[in-house]
Amino acid sequence: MIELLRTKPWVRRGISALSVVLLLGGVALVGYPFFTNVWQARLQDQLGKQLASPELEQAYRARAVETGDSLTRIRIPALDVDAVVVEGVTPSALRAGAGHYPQTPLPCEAGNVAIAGHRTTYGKPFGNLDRLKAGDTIELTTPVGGCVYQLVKAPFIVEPTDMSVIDPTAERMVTLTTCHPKGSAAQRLIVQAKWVKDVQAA
Amino acid sequence: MSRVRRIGALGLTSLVLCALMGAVPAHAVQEETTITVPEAFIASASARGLDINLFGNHITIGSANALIDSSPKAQAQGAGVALIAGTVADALATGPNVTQTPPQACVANLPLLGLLTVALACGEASATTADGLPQAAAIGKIASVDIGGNLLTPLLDAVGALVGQTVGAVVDPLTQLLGGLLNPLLGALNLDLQSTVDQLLSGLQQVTGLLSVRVGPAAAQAITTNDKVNGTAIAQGAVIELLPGLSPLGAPLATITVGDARATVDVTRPSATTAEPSPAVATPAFQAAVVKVDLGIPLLGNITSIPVSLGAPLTLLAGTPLESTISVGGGSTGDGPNGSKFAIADGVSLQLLKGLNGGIGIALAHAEAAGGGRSARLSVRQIAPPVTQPEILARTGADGAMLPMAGIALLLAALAGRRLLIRSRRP
Repeated sequence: MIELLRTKPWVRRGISALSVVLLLGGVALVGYPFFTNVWQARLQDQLGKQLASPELEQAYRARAVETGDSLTRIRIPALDVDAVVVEGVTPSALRAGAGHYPQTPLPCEAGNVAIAGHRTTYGKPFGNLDRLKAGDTIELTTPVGGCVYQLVKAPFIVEPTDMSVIDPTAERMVTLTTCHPKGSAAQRLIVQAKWVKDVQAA
Repeated sequence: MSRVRRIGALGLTSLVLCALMGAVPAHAVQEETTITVPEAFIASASARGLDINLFGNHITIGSANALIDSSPKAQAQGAGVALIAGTVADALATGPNVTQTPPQACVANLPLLGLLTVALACGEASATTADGLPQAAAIGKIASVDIGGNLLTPLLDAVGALVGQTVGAVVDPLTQLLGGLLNPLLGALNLDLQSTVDQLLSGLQQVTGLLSVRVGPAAAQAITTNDKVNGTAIAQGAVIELLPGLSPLGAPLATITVGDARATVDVTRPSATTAEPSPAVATPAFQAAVVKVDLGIPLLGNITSIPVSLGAPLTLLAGTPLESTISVGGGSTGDGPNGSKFAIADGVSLQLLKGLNGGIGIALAHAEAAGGGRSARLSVRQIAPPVTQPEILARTGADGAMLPMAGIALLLAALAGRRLLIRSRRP
């Protein structure tokens, strides 16, 4: 091979060009999670402003928040999580970091409110969800009020097809879902918390 | 060499497998069909039982009209006597799944213009667009029509002058009066003309009216089925008695029997295609009325039957006040606009008693039908069926997780390439 490179200039030029392409591609791929985090951070800024807007409050009251628009803010003090949750769990909506399952009740309403969040990219708001434990709290703040939930059991793992975790319930609760293990979509990590109290809108 | 063969066999097997996999579609392709040009059709039918022109007064008795089209629309009108509201029934259905069936409209003992009396006149109509198949039907019917009891006086006056004359003087006018009709018959039967004239004149004193008409109903219908559209008009036959009661036994001067007249058009409904809309095939047909005249002249002692041929009008009592002409109209078919066809049964026309103030004009058994259409044009678009994915909890973890590792592999490959290049430059 070395001999070939010495005797054939076009082979040397080809290897040189290929190395440059591989270098650029490698940098782009290695930096992909970082790029998604930057993207998500900028998007969160915009969503935060939208969440405070009167237009969104009107749409929220009319139960007409569109997919990808701000819906609620989620805070998990134990994990130092503070993110805006958008409506919908489509891939594009989830670029915001976390999204609300549209078939479940609106935050703080009666029933089982379900929210999905990224674990490794797009700000990874649910990156450390497995560290939560019973007694930790989850706060949701909507344009019309807020509420606090509290974990009564540790996070657990289910198959991706186990939709029962977001089934309607008689009691007020919130369910958080994220992929498991980290970097894989083979399973889902589930956190469920029961409603504790409502909080008036600021 | 054997290695080359093995590699060749493996490659060939791979190609076959790829071809087979490529031949099996992942999802069956569906077709979405939309109608870009809708189907169009129309059919109409019209029948008229009796049209009378009575000394300048025009009256239509027994008429029916039906019309359908693809809009969808269905319309029907049945009339016992046209323009007499109590005998007219109208039905109209426009838009999908509309049905209208008004009650039968009837009037009994209806005097008209002081010249005739209709015993019972009724109109019926119904129209529907149910199931996307427009249908319309109408009937106009009357029980019987008696014309001119009070018109007898001018008739008798017309012949009264003859009565006062001598028998010898009467012979010539009556010979003219009865025209070429009686002479051959009298000669063949070796009858006495003198007694014939006497009987005729005395008979005129006994007549109870000018004309008695019993006419069957006029019916029209236009219907749609899944494969064709049809318009049919039928004017059922009539029996006309001219000068009823003329003979001692009550027989009329003549009894004119008119058969049914019918006109139909069948229109096929061609299947929709992706090509330019094609015209429907319309087939018209008619059946003209058949006419027969029975003479009840008392001098003959019996009744003679005379058929009337198409294109050869029959004139009775030519040159006299009682002159009457009977014509059979036949019928025809033809082409209408946009590929449509029509059929007409012209019916029978009578000019009776021309010598009395212009006489009585009667048109009977007129039927006509028309129809046409075109196919619809379709647009067919192939669409891939929606890919149904199993419902799963949102995927939020694997996106890009492997990419950094792939990136590191690329960086290592780039580094290896650079090292090769550096080593190649060393002596």
